Amino acid sequence: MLLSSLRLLLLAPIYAAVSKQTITKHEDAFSESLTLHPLPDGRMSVLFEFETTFSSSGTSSRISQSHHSLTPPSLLLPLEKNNVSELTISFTSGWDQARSSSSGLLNYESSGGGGEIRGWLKDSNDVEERWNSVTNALGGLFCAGLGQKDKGDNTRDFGGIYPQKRKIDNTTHFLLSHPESQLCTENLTPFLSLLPSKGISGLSALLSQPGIIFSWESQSEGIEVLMPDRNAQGRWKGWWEGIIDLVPSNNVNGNGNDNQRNRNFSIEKIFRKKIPNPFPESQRSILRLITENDNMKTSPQGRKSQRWIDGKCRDVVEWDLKDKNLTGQNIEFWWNGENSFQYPRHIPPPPITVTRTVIDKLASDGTFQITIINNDNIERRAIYSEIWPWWVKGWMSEIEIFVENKKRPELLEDLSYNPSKPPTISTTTLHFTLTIPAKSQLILRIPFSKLTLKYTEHRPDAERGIEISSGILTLLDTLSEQQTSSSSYDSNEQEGEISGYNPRRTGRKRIYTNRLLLDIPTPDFSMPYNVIIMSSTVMAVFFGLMQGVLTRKWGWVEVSQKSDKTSSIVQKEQKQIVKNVSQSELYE
Amino acid sequence: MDEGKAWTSSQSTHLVVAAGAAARLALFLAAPALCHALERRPELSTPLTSIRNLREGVFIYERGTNPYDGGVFYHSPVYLAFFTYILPVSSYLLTALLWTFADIASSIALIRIWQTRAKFQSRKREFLVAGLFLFNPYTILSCLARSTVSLDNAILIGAIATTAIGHSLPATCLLAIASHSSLYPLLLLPPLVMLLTKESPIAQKSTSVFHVTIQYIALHAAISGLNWILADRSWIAQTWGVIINVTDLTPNVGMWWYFFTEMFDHFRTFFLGVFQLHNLIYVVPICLRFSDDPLFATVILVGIFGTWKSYPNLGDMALWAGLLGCFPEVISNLRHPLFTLTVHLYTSILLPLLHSLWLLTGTGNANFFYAATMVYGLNASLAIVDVMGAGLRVQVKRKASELLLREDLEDHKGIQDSSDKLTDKVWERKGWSVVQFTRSLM
Repeated sequence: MLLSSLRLLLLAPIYAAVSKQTITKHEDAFSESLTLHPLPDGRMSVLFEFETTFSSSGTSSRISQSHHSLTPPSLLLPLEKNNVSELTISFTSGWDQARSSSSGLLNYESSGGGGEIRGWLKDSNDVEERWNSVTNALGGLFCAGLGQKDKGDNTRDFGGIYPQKRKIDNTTHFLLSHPESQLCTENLTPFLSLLPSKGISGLSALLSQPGIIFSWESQSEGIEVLMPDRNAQGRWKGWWEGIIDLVPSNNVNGNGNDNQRNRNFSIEKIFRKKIPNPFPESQRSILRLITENDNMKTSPQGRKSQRWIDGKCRDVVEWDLKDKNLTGQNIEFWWNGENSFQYPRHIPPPPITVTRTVIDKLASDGTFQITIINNDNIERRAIYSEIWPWWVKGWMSEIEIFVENKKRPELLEDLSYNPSKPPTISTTTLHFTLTIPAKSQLILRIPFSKLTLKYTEHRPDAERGIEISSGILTLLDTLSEQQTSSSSYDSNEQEGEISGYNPRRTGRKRIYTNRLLLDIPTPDFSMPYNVIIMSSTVMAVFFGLMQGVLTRKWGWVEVSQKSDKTSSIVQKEQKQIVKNVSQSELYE
Repeated sequence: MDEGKAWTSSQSTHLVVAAGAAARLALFLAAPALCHALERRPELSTPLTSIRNLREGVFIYERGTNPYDGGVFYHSPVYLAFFTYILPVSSYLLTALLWTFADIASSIALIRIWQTRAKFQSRKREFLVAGLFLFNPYTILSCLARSTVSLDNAILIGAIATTAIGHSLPATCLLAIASHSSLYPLLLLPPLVMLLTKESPIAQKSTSVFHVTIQYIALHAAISGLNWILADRSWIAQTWGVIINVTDLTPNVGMWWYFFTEMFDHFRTFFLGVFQLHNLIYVVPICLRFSDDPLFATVILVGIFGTWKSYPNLGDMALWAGLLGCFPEVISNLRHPLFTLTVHLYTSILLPLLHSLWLLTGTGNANFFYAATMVYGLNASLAIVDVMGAGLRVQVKRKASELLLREDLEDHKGIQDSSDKLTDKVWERKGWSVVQFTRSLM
């Protein structure tokens, strides 16, 4: 007894040291999930998420490569070298707010239309240069031009819209928007290669099927990296989301079995594969189904729970795919008593929708009309942000805000306007701090003109037009989705939460508009020589005539009045009396 | 004569000025929609003169930001300060009154110019000078569009009028303001200095060239200093810099915008130099050739830079036409006034038509509007040459008449007519005409 206690005493420092080390040196961990969310219009959101946590390279190990066991060096080394603290890359193609009863994709970090790369850089020295090297390095990795096309495409005043996840001082935010980018098959292979499971096992095996994945509707792909620092582990997360149609259309299902148009589906039906072998290194591998309290049934049954997701308390069913019994099995989903899917007459709208169109459309002018609809009984506060290329010149003095066809200028609390500096290529950014009244439709009108570009400044295929980045509505009054036990909320909110609906309790802080294609008035690209020649000719004619008038001698002649007017010979007979004497007097 | 009596009544000039003011105010009040539509016309206002840009700049300035930081505002700080602190640009009524007042002041200044030129009183001519300016469609439209070119014109005409009268301080002051806001009036300094230093019957002591030039430079520097206080030095690149470097290529009636849209980048600087020097090179020869009549040299130069400056408006042509009204003897000696007028008529139809095809409906392309501006530019250029030729013809006629026709002219004394009209009549009867020889002057 004494001896053992003595041994304990002796070894205590060693134990302590070991246990301390295990605290600071976290194991790299990988977890994955697949979320299915049926939408009210007979479609379904499918979201793959892969998350890896990894340790800081400085403190964990002497072997510098060891922390890359689960993490891809091709992704992390450029970030580490350029001192990046956070980085998000996202590609999105399309989203329909009206049909899906949700203001955006299932993954809250997905950007608006097109591609986008944004992040926080540490230190303030040569940030621009480091940002360029990061974007260009990762552009190669994602088979897309992520770097800036022209100097001045970067915007730096979106730090408030995309706040840091980890508070680090002395950082700079960058946002580079590529509204013209598309998601394509080229993007899937590099995405899979970043994952530790490489598309061979686990959920990534379901994703590594380009033939199936790219037949889906609107898709979104992205990664988010938080680099490790002294206090916290690093984390990188990749996601892939798509929308699939559950109801077979008449054309595809041409076997004449029309009354079989129900939404029943299974894992095998969607992916043409059964549940794959789990990835051995993964800590968690979860299949999640979000239902809307309707008669949805599954087989086999999963673990049920309730959770706040995007403003609603929803039923969530989960299956642990690391369970050996599920491997090689199929999971089936159906709606009780649904023979044929009836398209709903009314789809409940999302709490807030934002759309942007161009009205008063002329070839050289127009007006952006941003319609923000608040469908709830609470007033919301938000920032609406726009990014324009330099040739879009907005008229700040003519901005108008309407609610129910009445001007309501007081709803615009603040406007931050950062104009571009033509003719240098730069961006204009705008942030409107707005109050959106309850149950109302707020219309924001921004008139703009398109500047005339030099013919060398037009991009190839100029007649097609140029895409404008999505507008971003950032909600300032959202609450955490985690259910808190504190009763500090006022009674009104509590009431809302009892009924399982509170539009503020959502992790979706940003709602995006569609991107816009703006055509630019073009010059005639075949004209440079002609214009130079013709304008120069007019100038030469003017100069020549002026020179003639200024330098020639002026005098007078007397034309005889008796001469016959019809004969041309008379001209010669005219008594031309040039008064030479007086002329020389004139111009001495 | 009854007609003569009607003209001699002093009410007639007041009447036309009042009618011009009434017509403007009536249009401002009765057709605000028309005025708002005219504001956007590129023929009437360029980004450097449009009220829309001015409003935008004042809006940004009032919110505590420097409007010259972004590429949206090219107006002079003089206008920025005036429309921020003195007269609110957002007030439709006050600006309408200001623009009407500017046109009225211009017409009165034109009458003063005519009075100092003509050695005799002619109510009829005063009526015509004011009427031709006030009811010129270009003047009315520029005024209704509230293009700051109308204000520039008023200041410049004021400068010319005070110079013609012989007051050097107001003249240099107005010229300094005019050259601050649109830069090109700087070219008028030599002829106006010549005019000021010429012996005039009104101004008793003749001022020296040195004195006037120093005065102008001092006033110009003073205004620059005020601007500096207002918007440190950012305004230079955004006002004069834009006028010189033509960085904004918004279509206008001039010859520059499409030329520099289509220009190859490595020739841009060279051609900018050529186009700017082209305005400059005429100053010295014209001042030399018309050294006996600096006012006429001023008019020719106004015409040249009204056509060939980097951002011309139709209002510049209105200024030129108004000044020409003070030179009836030149007008009667023009070679092709009908041609000039009809081409103006034709371009004033073509310009809006082809502009709307390209930039409103988006069906045409840039060549459409370019063709119209080229016809306009060519016509204005030919008109300048014509006016200059007419001026030289008048010069020759006067000198020859003085030498050879003194008796003939004295025979006709007593007829109430101007001496130039008389000369024309005598020349007509004699069968004499002025010609330009192919031989060079030198």
